[in-house]
Amino acid sequence: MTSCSKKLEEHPKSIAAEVFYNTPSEVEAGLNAIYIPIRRVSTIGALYLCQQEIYAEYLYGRGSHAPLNDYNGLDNTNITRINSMWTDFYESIRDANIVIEKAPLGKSLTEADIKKYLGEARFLRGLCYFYLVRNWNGVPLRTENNMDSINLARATATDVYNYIIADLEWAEQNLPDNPRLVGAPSKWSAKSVLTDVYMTLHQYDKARDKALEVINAAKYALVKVTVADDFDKVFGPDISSSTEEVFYLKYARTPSGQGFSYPQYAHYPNSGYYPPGGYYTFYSDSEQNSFVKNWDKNDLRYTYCWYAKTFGLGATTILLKKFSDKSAVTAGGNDYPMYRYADILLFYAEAVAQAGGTPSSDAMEKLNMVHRRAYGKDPLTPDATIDFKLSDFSSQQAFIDLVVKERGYENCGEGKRWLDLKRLGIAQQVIAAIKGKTITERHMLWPIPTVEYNYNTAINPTTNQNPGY
Amino acid sequence: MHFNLKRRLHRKTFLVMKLSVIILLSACMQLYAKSYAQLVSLSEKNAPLEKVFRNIEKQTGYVFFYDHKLLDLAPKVSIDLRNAPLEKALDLCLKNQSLSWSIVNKNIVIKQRQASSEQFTATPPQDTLLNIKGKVLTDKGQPLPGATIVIKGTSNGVVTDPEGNFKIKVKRNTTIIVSYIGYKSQETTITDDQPQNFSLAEAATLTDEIVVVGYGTVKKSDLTGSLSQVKSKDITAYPSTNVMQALTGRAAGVRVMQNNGAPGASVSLRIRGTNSILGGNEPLYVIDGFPYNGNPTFLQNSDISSIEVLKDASSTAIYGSRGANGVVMITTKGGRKTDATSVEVEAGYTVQSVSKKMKLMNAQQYALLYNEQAANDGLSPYFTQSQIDSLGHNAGTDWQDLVLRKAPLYNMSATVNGGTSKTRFSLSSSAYLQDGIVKGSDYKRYNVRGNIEHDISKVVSVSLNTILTRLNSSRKNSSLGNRGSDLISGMLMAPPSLTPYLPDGSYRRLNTAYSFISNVIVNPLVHIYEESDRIKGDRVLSNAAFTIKPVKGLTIKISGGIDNLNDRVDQYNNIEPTVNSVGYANIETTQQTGLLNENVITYQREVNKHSFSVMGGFTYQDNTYTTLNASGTGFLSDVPGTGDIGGASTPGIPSSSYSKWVLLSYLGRANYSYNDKYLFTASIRRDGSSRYSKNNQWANFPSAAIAWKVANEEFLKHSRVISDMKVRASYGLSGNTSINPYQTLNQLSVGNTIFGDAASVAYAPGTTLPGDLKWEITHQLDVGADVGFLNNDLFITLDYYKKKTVNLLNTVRLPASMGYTTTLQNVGEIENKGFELGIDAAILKGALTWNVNANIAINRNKVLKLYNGQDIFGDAIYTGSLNDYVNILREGQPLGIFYGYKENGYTATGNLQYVDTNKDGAITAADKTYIGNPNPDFIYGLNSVLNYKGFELTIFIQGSQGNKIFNLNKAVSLDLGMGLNLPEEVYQSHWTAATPDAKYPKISRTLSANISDRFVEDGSYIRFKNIQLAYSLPAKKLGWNWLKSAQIYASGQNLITFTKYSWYDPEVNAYGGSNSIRQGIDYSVYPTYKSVTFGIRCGF
Repeated sequence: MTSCSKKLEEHPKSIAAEVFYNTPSEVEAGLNAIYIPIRRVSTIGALYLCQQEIYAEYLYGRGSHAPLNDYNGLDNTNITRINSMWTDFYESIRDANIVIEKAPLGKSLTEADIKKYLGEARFLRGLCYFYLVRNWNGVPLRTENNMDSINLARATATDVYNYIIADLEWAEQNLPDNPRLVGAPSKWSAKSVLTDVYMTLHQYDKARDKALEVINAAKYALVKVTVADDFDKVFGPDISSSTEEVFYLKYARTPSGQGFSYPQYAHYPNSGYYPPGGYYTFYSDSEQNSFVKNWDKNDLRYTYCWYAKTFGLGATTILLKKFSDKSAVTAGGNDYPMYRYADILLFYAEAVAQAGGTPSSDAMEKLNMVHRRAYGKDPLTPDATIDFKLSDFSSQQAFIDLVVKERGYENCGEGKRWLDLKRLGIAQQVIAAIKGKTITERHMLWPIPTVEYNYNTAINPTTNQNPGY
Repeated sequence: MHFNLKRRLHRKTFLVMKLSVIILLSACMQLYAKSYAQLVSLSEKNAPLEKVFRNIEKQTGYVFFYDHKLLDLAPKVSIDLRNAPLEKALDLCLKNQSLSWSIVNKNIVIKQRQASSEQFTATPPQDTLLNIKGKVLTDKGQPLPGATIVIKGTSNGVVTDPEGNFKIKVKRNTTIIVSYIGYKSQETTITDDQPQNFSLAEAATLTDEIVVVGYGTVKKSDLTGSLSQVKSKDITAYPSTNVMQALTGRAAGVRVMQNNGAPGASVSLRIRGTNSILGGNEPLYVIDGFPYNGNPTFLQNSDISSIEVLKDASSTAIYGSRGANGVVMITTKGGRKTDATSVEVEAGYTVQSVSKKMKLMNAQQYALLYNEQAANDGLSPYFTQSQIDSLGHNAGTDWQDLVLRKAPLYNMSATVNGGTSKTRFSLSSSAYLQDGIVKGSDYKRYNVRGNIEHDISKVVSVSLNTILTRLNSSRKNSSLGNRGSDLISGMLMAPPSLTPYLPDGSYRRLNTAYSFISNVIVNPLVHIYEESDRIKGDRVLSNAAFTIKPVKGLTIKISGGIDNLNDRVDQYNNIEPTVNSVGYANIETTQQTGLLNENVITYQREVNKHSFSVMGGFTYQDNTYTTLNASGTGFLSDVPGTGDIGGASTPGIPSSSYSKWVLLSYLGRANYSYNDKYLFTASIRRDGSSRYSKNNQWANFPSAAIAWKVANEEFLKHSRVISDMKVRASYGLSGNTSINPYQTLNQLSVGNTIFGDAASVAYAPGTTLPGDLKWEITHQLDVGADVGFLNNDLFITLDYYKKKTVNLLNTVRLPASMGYTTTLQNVGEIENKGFELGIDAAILKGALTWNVNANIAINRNKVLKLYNGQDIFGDAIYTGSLNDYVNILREGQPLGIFYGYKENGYTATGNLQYVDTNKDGAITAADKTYIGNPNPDFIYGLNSVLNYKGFELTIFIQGSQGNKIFNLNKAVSLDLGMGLNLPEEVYQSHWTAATPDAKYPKISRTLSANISDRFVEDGSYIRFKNIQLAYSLPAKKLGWNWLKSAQIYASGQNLITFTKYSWYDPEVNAYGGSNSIRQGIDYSVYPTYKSVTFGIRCGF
């Protein structure tokens, strides 16, 4: 009988969780897993960016994304999409929690290893919660200590932000100066995300200081551009990194399944910008949309961002060109620039004005660095023909408006605009002005998905749901 | 003649001989043979000879043939023997009689001494008598020795000799009846002295056949459980891709669900309802004793001699953890000892065409409809008036005609059966070559099979069964895509206003053809001509056994088998600019090897009126499954196809997998019967499975059954109406093992992510949290009766059953924030109960014979308990406009009931309006309710066979009543911003201010559609599954002595169907599968076909 029972023992040819996370390469494999869910097409790989960008004032959704433009919350199809995003963010959080729980027990790890790895895991966990809290408000806080409890109530937004700050500050202390790999975070990545968090929380002095730490570290520089196509050195599919990269999600054309799919949603089939075909799921109009219409055509970013394409929606229809890969076979080689140096410079410029009440020349210089580059100038050399003058934007509001507008051009297509509009409290006003739509309260937050509240009894689908759902 | 005795041992066939009409009508005179020994013990004093003979029959299994009158006159005998050879016993019995005995084939023939061995004169000689010679054969061309030829209206007749020959003298214009038990009688009127040859078909009504049960065989009359048998003739009645399809409508309580019409498409079987949610609901298939892992799609129908479907717990419990869904025992053809070698050849040619064509909008209707949409949505018209006018000149492109075709199907087989005194064999070779009705699809299968048994000595014998199959199929399967993205939806949704090709001969790109068109629609011809998906597979199923019979009644069988599968799938998409394809190759290989060892001991003993048999055994089975996959995108040329994947500019990450399970089992069964009236069976199996958690690996599956052969009681013995009656009851447990290996282990799965520009390896758990799992157990009660009337010309089998499955393996959904989305737990209960009725009737006998068999089954299932009362939803289905689940499991409801909104006309603006079920003033998910049940009220089948002078008309009707189909194909009619073609009905009847009661809402892309009762249709149907007219050539009359039998036939399959269902075919189950909750949905599937077959069946 004993020998019989022996025959019933399972010997799978795969690795058991119980014996893993002991050596540096094992823990690193565990860390690598954290990136997978959020990189998926269902989330930052494409659909999250589509959703955020169609909410912005300069793009319109087509087909199943068209309802996003009604600014009245989500329809069934789009609710299903955000369900997947919620699931992906939390899967990354789970994988981070596993490393946070297991790495300290690793048999062949030094104290320094553990700190470094925990820093990366906590950085990514904080980052995921930052995405969640901005789109859903307070969410359940899954940590390494409550991973197994099924029912967990929504934390308040404040609690979530405090947790994010704790994670990022710990990461800031323990992450290395230089990342483990290109695409992994450094301590500067943590400081950059913290800047964004403080901006969102309107703690502008803290934001300003963090941004300045990153700037003063002199680790990053804007890539120089002379003609529009030179922006390929920032966003193009062929570069593997740049001096501007603070924290990117990395993609590659090969092996297959590892590419960036967002361009597929942007392009028209056979447009030449994305050979695997396209869904042209969002578009704009160079005449009907005032944001685009008023965009200075000498700004190289305009040329880099748009191309005209007529497909029955009028002669002035334009599509987003920013993320293109003319050599793509299955998916693009472009990376997703989650945080780049231009973001930090513009955060700094805005934070100075917001915190100090008046803009400084330093703030204006940081803004001008970005602005100059957009016109093909050396970012570090003042150029009177291009530069904004502080005297023209001396009031706090005028300067902030200028920065916000510049950020609109600089980050066009990067999935950051809607959250900026929300953070600044100007979403209603901007969308009404440019698209002529009224945003309902329902539109401001995504619903807690059914995949959560159906099985988590600590969340009541009526009383704990976001407004309008 | 000794070999004849042994043959009896092997075949155990039970026969009753009838010499006179009186015998024929009198059930009490039936003679039973049931034992298998060739030694007899007799102890009789002054007993009638008939009684002694019956005693010998009981002990030996041989059957006496005699003229009733001879025995009436015979003196009584006294005899006392112990374990004497049969021959000696017979000599002693007839010592002082004027009778002689001889063993003819399987029978002991008693004759007047000195009588001619082949003839005894039945009527006094008369001058006017005709001397008729003749031969009686089976319809397979085998001689029938011992068949009786009786002059109608008298008890006078003769018996055929070992070659089936007879001679009889009769008056002109007398009618003679030829009969043989187990075969249908025939009669003919003699008008001249021409030779009379008869070919007898096996009778449909038989209670005393041998049926195959788990680890043994049993006489049907001794069954204590519930079982349906389907014979070779029905399995090969019409060409079907696999043997499961041939079971449709043949066995009560067996529901065959064809998922779609593709050649080689999977078929789901449900025996007595659905027991499990996750554990798999397909029955266990046992092929020649080998419990097969999966569906036996590789078998050739012509190789199968019979299929037994075990349904109740006392039959299935012997398969323990795999028995809960029923067991399908498949027996391939075998040889017979000292049979003349027979050759059977069958060949058929079939033409298939789509069961029906969908009526879709023509080009002009398309343009008008979408202009109406543009107008309703405030857009400028898509088509100008002149465009519309020019589109009106013809119907436009008929994409169905471009994709579908009439397709041929060839099936042919040759089987050789034979044997010598020590060796039996059956060899066959066959081919099934089917082209699909979708262009470019086919399914080709080649089989070679051999069964050999050899007696090494009187004690030891060996056997080997081997089936080799080569499968080769080119697939054009629907990927159930949305908005025209796959072949079938593309065919139905491509605009009729567009030609398939551009003037330069290239394919038209559909997704940019109009500004408003779906961005995923693909020209279906690209799928047909520029993409290939081929599977090549080899199957080996081989089982060798070593049988020892050391002492009387004891059999030891040691067997070992191998089940091997090698599959390779090659997929290649050509370089095709209109779909942006740069060439894509994908290769998948699967290797699966199962090993089986069974050691079974059987002991059988009869003491006076007590009959025992005991079986015990130990078995080991394992299964190892490995896969390897490689893919690549971007090729310079299509020439290499999948032949040189290294040429891919973007290689995919190769993947491989490994899994193995082991099942150890102890089994035992005891049968006891008293006086051939009271039967008891008890069995137990103890299974240990590697798939379960450490402490839950072993489980016991006991069962017990009783039966009472009422017909053998004195009060019924002489009944002229009731010829057979048995009541039975059983109860037992069986299980379900179909969880995947390693599901209880905390394993990490590998993934890849990018750093820099290179892939890095990642490890993380999957999204299913491992659970501590144990067995699902199904308790089943069965009460049944088998009743034969009028000498079993009418035979009825009735069963009631009630099943309850507990410890249901249940996917417990976890909140997504855990990072795991599901876990598995043993929580939940499901109940199935129902009735089954089977009727076999020989309505007409004589020159015109008419046999009918029919079955009907009623099953009701109910979910009793789920984890925390939590509903389980089927996975969501995405059609482009709809994205929701359709089926739900909820406590107190039938399995998989459709769940959605109820429609309530239209709003004032023509939008869809739903019922506010909970009356809270808003339409929310809380307003969803039950909108249809995919489970039928009952299913039925009816087979009618009419025979007249070599002609045979077979009509097979099969149907399902009361099931609903969720016709998701209609979703396209509410998805109106995408330029998709629609059923013509939408054009003809949609909402406008003038037609507010139309079938479809306003033509607008702003419709807010939901899963609703709009899609629910009645799926009931009654279908003439097969109509066949066959003619047996009078080969002998034509002087073709080399030919034993020849039948030519023409048949039609699915030619007539009565149904209200609006789409292609009511036999559909788009998302069917072994554990799919998504039942009864039709969505963009490969259509089913109807067909006409011409064929020939010959015996040599």
